[in-house]
Amino acid sequence: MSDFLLTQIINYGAPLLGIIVFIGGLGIPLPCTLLIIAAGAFARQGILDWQITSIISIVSVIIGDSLSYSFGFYSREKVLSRFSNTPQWLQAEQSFQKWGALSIFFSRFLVTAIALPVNLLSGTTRFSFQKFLVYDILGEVVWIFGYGGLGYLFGSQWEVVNEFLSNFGGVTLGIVFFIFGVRQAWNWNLIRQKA
Amino acid sequence: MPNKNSKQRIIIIGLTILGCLLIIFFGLRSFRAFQKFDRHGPPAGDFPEKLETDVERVRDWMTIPFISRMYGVPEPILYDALGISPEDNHKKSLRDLNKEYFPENDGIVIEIVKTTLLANQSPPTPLPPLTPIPPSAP
Repeated sequence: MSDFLLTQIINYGAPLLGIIVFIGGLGIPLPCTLLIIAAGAFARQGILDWQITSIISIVSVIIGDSLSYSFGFYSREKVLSRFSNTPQWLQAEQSFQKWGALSIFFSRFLVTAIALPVNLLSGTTRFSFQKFLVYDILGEVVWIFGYGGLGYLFGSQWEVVNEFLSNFGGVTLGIVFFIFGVRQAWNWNLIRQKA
Repeated sequence: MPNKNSKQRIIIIGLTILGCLLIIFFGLRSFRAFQKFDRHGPPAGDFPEKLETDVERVRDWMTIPFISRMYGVPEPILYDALGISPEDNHKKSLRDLNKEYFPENDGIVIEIVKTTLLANQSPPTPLPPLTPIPPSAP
């Protein structure tokens, strides 16, 4: 899949990259980070224009993210009919109002695997769309310019950068799961001690 | 209620174990990747990039025009070496060209391209001669 998309990007350029990151923003699993790093390298090689490519990519991915926010927003009733007023749901809503901004920002580039659930949860919990948009734009700018910039810097050696960053993303996801698990265990223990 | 508690406990333990496994698995891979990353500093040179010389960087997702631009070897030379016409082939990857024109010889296209690139690369720019540094006066 990655190889096929790389071939098509060198053939069709920035518009195709825009379509791919838009679809990625909707939550369809595509190797978008790899393509952004490669696009940076292609820009260095003079295949893509870095200004046009970055503008198209940022705009496309933000539209995709906003649409997945709206899926969450409009499916709130369905979710509420299932979980409404359960302590878990209220806790999730409270936690998201507290940590939502950071989750949105870091899930754009550091823990991309949770980007879709974060978008959906933002919409479902009625997290302010303006705030969502601000942190989404900030995160996506870091993603495009940070990762694309590394590709640009390393040029034809971009595969080495991709290998490191994709594995590092896995480590970050592991840390998130671990911290979440330990925190829940800690809370659970406190509740049990009180009871 | 106890049933719900045990379910919650399983989820918490499962998440923590999964987190540990992910950290170990991807941590080791990251470490190995970092070692490679450390050996490959960003290439010094001009922007846009000067021509590539290492043919080991040719991949089978690349197209002939892309390789031609990357290595500074004219497209007709590469098409001639493969014995195919540029028409209808300029958007095809090396893998697709291999499948279409050499279905019995897997990997032959990439090998021909590498050999052709090696034979046709422009010679490296000679370095200026070293100027001896005069010994400093005592």
